[in-house]
Amino acid sequence: MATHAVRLNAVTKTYGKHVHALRGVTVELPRGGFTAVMGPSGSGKSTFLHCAAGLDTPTSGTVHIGDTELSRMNETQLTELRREKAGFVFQAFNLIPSLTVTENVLLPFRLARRRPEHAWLAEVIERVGLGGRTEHRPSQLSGGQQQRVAIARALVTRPEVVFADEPTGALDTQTAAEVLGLLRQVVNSTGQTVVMVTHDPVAASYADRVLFLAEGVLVDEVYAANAQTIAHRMTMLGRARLAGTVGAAAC
Amino acid sequence: MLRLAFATSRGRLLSLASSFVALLFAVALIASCGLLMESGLRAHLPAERYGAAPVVVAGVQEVTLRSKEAELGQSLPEPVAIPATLAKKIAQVPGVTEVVPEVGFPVGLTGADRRVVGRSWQSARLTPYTLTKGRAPATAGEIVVDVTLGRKVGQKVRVAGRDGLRDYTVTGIAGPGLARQASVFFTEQRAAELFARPGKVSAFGVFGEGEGEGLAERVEQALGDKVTVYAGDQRGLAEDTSAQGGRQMLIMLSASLVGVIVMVAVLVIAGTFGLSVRQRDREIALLRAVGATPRQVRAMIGREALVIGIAALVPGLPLGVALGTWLFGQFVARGMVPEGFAAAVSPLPLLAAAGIGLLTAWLAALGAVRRAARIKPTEALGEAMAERRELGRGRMISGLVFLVLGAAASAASMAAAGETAAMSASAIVLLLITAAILLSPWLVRLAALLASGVIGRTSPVSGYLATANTRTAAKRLASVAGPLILMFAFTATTLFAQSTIGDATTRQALEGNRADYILQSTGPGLPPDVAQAARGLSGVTGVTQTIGTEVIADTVELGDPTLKPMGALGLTVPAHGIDLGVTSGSLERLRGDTVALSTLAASSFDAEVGGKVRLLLGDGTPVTLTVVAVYERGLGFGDVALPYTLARDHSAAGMAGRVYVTGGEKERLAALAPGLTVLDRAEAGAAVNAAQEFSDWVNLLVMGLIIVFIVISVVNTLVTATGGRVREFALLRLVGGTRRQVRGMVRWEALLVGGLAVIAGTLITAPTLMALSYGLTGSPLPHVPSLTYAAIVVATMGLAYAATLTPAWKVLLGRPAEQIRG
Ligand SMILES: Nc1ncnc2c1ncn2[C@@H]1O[C@H](COP(=O)(O)OP(=O)(O)OP(=O)(O)O)[C@@H](O)[C@H]1O
Ligand SMILES: [Mg+2]
Repeated sequence: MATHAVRLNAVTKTYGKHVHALRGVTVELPRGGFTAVMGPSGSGKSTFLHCAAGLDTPTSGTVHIGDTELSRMNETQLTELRREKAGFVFQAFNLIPSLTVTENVLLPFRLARRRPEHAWLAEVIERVGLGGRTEHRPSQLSGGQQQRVAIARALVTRPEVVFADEPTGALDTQTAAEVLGLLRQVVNSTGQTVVMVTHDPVAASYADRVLFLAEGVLVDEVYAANAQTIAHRMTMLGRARLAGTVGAAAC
Repeated sequence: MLRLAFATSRGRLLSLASSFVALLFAVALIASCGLLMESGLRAHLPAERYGAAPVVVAGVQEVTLRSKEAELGQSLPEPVAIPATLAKKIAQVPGVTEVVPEVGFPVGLTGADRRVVGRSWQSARLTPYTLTKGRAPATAGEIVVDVTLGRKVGQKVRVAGRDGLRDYTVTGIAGPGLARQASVFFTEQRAAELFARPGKVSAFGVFGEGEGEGLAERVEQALGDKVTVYAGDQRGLAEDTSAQGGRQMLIMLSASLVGVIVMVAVLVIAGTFGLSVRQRDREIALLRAVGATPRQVRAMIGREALVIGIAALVPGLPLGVALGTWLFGQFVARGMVPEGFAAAVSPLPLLAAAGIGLLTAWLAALGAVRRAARIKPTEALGEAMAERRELGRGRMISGLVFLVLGAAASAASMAAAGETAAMSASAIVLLLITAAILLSPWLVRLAALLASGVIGRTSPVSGYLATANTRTAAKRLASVAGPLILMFAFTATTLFAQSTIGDATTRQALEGNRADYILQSTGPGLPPDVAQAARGLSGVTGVTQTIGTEVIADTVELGDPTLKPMGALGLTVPAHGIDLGVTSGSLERLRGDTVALSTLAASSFDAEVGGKVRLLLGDGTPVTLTVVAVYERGLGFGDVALPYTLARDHSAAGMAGRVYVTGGEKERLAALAPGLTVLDRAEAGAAVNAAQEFSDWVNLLVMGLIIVFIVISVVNTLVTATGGRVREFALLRLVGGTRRQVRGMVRWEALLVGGLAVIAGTLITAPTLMALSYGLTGSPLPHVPSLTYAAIVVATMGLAYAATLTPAWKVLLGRPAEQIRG
């Protein structure tokens, strides 16, 4: 069994002819790790996440989730793989407005035609702190609560990897801390892997490892750093970019 | 997935409802057409006249081109006679015990309120008629009459027939009376004279052993397809030639209606399905991201469509039966289907309608399903997904191509004139509508650009916002403008094509009528004595007898041999009191094997004066005639003018339909014969063309149906488009806009879109109608009643307003702070 949860090898992604969102990214994300991805806007973070999660197909290079190589899979196979191995939390529009909290959380089961484990469902909902709100609709919840529903949905299938694209982007510090704590807890208690894109050094400090992306290239990484260190690295990144010295991939 | 589809249906109820209503309507219409078609195919008319004969052999009341097997034939307006010698052949068929020939012809009997058929007393037993009083006719001057005609034995009765108005003595009364047609019996010889087709008969009644069906089959086998063999409930069809025409009309009309309905329904419902998927782009993307396969998404949308389709069947089918029965009643009331014809209600057409309805739903859902399955999971992320697809250059280019094609077709038809021009009208309107719909986003932008100055000054807040919106959300507004343009152009073309033709017809008939009086009969026609007597009256300077009938042109159209029915007028020459507007040749020579053609017919035949044309007379007799004149007033009088005797000899009644008289006095003319009506110039008007009236009615009906679909689509698009702007409205109000201002903005947008539809629609309609008018009348100016035009404009604007403002009103009732959170 592979030690990594996700592995990208020389992945590039080009939109049209001239937009190179990723230019050869090679990285291994170990099992049970919490990885944050940072970088300036437009640096390819979301694209990286989509490629790593099998939501999008790279222009070249290979992606493995566990031992499975994604490039030869068709849409249906990819979907089935995602169902089993991946959970998603997006920055916004995470929930189907017309479904209740429980219905939203159970959506992956319904799509997979699997029976939900009710004990686990109750626990997940309890853990995200939505015990009393299960019959409410998204419009009746706050932004942070909606985000927590999305996390519950990402966790309920016990996926190997949880992918999150700026999950705290729209949240205040307090709520963001709750959400991040929850993700951290997932890694610690169940050994699931979390990959999170963020702009916020504080959010990134919850991770074991922070990857820095600039113009589609992995340029730097730090392990178990605090927010200050991360912020410093980000600033350096900005300078380096300005000076035009970005180029060496660090991985 | 289906449960999911319906679990997420909240908020989409309207678009589900409009798909449902559109499908319900489609199913009802298809079912009603099925009922009509079934009524036509299995047309049965209980036998009256031939009630006693188990099998009836009569002529084939339609012609088909020998080269094309599958094509539906043209039905013949006059009864087709068959050779009397067939009797021997029929008698040899095993099981046949007796063959009774029948000659039947319409006769005029004063005071009779229904069809009266002249027959030979020998064929009385086909009904069977038996004497209730008196005796059989023995001499040429004696008759037996149906008991319901209310005559007495010994009474003198005047009967109008082919050879004149004659007095007969009633020698007997026969029963039972018949409801649809009463018989007058002559001696065999006298009947043959009045039938005037030596060696021919109308039909044979065949008696034999066993039940009718088996006998009919054997007779059919022995005689081949030169005759039609009727048995059972079909025998009634042999009694009345119009029954055959009505039957064919039912089949053809319902078949073409089904085609139109399925086409329009698929278009409209595809639109509503497509819109409901577009509304859910992100939701579907999210489903894909959390584990829905493309197949599941396809299944969700597809099954939803199917369930709506099935749900629509439940009320749709009974509604269809009701509608079909009503339509059938209308056809009967309008004389296109003979009375006594029954509407057939059976499960078969309903099953077919259910199948076609579901197929329609499926076809309509195809596009939406494909589109939904292509949505990528990554589209759930990111914000700017709403107007993400840029307007393609391909769309603009194809729009321009259609525009150029439409303009070229319009210009070409002006050059071509005649039939071709008139026929190209429908192609032109289709090309231009397609162009307008493709180009609508740019049209919307252009309209906004042109109007923004004025609107911005009149209404600095709402107007400014509206024009800004219109420029940026051109695609959304275009999806609203498209159906409105379609509705306007379609309605205007249909109505004004009709008014143009109608107006030209009336004008030609009026201008061509130079007579002081027109004589008409309430019965089958005016016997020759009337014209004769009129000539003898003092002051009368000219008398012209005419017969209105129909011929079938045997032409070549676009390289294909085609049979085309044309209205025909038989007239005596020299023609006094009628001016057909001869442009070349002369009507003086319209005798023997000659013909005169309208400009339109001449172009169909591609013939000139001196040329020869082939056509089939009303009773199917093929003739080759020499063209002696070409005239203008084809719409007013018919496209083919025949020598009077030729038309008369091949018509059922053999009497004049109208007699045009110049000079003389009304009272003395009225006294010429009983049952005669005299119209003076003012009353004459257009020769009421029943067929034209009916086809106008059918056109209006089809237009109505299509408009209902379009309205469903417009309302759905507008309501969905407005409903999708909840956040936008909320934002506007949060930044300080009042309800009134937002409403004002919506109103300006509606005005802009409605105005655009009116202008674009008018621009589409104009060249179409000009081509039609030029082709049919030679003048490019169509007849457009301004009141009708105003009504269409008001309806289009009203629809744009109502369908935009109502949902906006509702949205504005909510609290913006809540709405913006969605
Ligand atoms: N569908 C697309 N078509 C064309 N270009 C795209 C598309 N999606 C992303 N891009 C481009 O690819 C590059 C990387 O985009 P990506 O969304 O990965 O950036 P990001 O790092 O997530 O930015 P942000 O922090 O603003 O979310 C950008 O230059 C973006 O414009
Ligand atoms: Mg991003």
